[in-house]
Formats: sequence, structure tokens, C-alpha cells
Amino acid sequence: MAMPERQTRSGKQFGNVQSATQLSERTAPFAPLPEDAADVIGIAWAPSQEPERILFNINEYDIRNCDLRSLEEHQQLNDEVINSYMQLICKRNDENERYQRVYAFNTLFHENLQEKGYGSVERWTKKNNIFSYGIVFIPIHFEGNHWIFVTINMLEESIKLYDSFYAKDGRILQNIRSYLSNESRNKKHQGLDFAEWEIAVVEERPTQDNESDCGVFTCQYAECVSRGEPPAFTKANVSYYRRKMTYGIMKKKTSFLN
Amino acid sequence: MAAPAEAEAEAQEFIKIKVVSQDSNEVIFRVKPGTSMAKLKNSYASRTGAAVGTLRFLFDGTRLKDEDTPKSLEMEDDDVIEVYQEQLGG
Repeated sequence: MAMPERQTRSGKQFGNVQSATQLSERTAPFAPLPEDAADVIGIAWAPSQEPERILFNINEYDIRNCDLRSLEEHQQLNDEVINSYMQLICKRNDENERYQRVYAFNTLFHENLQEKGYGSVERWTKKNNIFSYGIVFIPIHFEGNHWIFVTINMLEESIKLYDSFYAKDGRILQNIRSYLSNESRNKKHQGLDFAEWEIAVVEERPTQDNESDCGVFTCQYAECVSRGEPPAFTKANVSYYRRKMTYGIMKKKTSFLN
Repeated sequence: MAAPAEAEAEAQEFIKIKVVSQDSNEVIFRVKPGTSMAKLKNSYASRTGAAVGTLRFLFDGTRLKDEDTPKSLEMEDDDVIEVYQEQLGG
């Protein structure tokens, strides 16, 4: 992954420096992990003789030792970790009336939408009506090396992009807006009026300062959005979140802290 | 008329499925309705020389589980399975 290229592209080092500094002074409250966490995480991260063997699955996502080890300190997260974690958040919200129901697209959705158009993803929702959910998650694998997060909030009528590195990219928001419009015509047989919608890149968010943590940021943006909270964690919490996410995936739940 | 009917029944026992990669390479499989997707995935991986754990198989946007079958997925002749590589990001 090429850090210098990112700096050229964004024209800024590490996104919005000012808001990152403001946020780093806050510390999100986070509870200690359960007693068995050290053991469970130790097992998850121990090198396996068969790193490719499927250990278990979370919905349709297979989890292997090589996936779990992408959560280790300084490692880049892979798609299975991102996708399965999004599923755990959906499940937690389904089971908890305090929270909005969430639908999560997988990490190949936006790539298909952008490269092949609406027709290529039209059948992806054949069993689900996204308009019946409060929140839609779209984790995006950006330019082949970076995780970012887009969320649609059906109730607030917003499309928001959270990127822990770049300051902005308007094309993605356009793609998602166009998708929503097509999906509404296709499924609800009516267009969507975006006059009242807020479609924006979120500036007030924590940002990364390395080449490995964007997947953790993406998952934690999702976690905050799913609870209706602003992303008030900081990069100082990343090690904790890597452990929490590993424990959550091993236990197939995120609700042990709530 | 028994013979053609039997032949037809036999032909219908197999479903033709295309596995298409990101670079548009196609591999065609003829599978029985009850064949597990684990078998298809492993067969595709060994044919292309890739480790199966690095491949992602999608049918209508949903990941194929090992225990899925053409029948459970309601697949029809000429349906397409898309195959992608593992994604990593930092």
C-alpha cells in the first residue's frame, strides 16, 4: 500500500488534522473485556498449522486462522473480518429494540456498482428490501488498498462517508445516491426525492496515523453509527478495538459489553 | 416414448453453471442439484491454482457457503457465480 500516493491525492497528511486533534483529546469510554478474553484472543492469534482451514462461520462468511490474524497489531484487516463484524452489528441491533435495524452490504458491493453499474447489483437485494431497514452499511474497499465506510440512514435521510485517511471523495457518494434512486424505482416503483437528504463526507471523525488501521476505523465507525452515536473514539483505542473485535468474532457477538 | 423422456430426465440432472473471474475468465461446471458448493469451490481453486481461502464466490451478491447446493440456491442453467480475490486494506 502506497502512503505517499495517498498524501498526494488528499493533499493533506492524515485527513483533517484539526478535527483529529480535537477528537484525540476525548477518550471514548470502554469497558474491560471479559475475563476469558486473553485466552480467547491468544487462541485466535496463535499461528495455525492449517491457517486456511475454516474454523466457523458468521452467516455466510467463513472464518479462518488467517482472517483472525489480520486483526493482530499492525496487520491490515481482510474482507472476512470486515464483513463478519458488520453481520455481528446487524445481529446485535436486530436483538435490541433500542437500536435501528441494520442491513449490511458486503465489501464487493461498491466495486460492482462503480465498475459495472446498477444492473450488476440489482439482484443482490432480491431477498431484502433495504428500505425496510433504519440503517444500511456499505463498507468499501477503496482503490484496492483502503477501507472506508458509507452509511445510509433511511430515517434521518442521509448518506454519509467516513474515511479515516482521505478528506473527501464525492464520486462514491454520487454512486450511492444513484444506486438508491434506481433501487427505489425498481423496488418501490417510485423515484426518491433527495431535496431533504444530507449527503456528505463526515469531517468530525477520528483518523489513522499508520498504514494498517483503516479496517478497524471502518468497523468502529459502523459500531458508533449503529448505536446512533458520533464516532468519538480515538486512534489510541485501536489496540483495544483489535482485541475486542477478535473476541467478538470468536464469540460471534458484539453485545458482551452492552 | 420412454427413451427420450429418460434421456431428458438425465440431462436435467445436471445444471450448467459458469464461474466468472474478475478478468472475465469463464470456467463451466456441470453439477448435480445436490452437489455441495465446497466441491465446486475446491475444484475451481485447484483448476486455477489458487488457494481456496483467498477466493470469494458470489451468487447474486451472496457468498456461497460450503454446504450450499444448486438446489438450495435455486440455481438454473447458465447461472453465473462470480469469483473475486481476498481484499486487504490499511
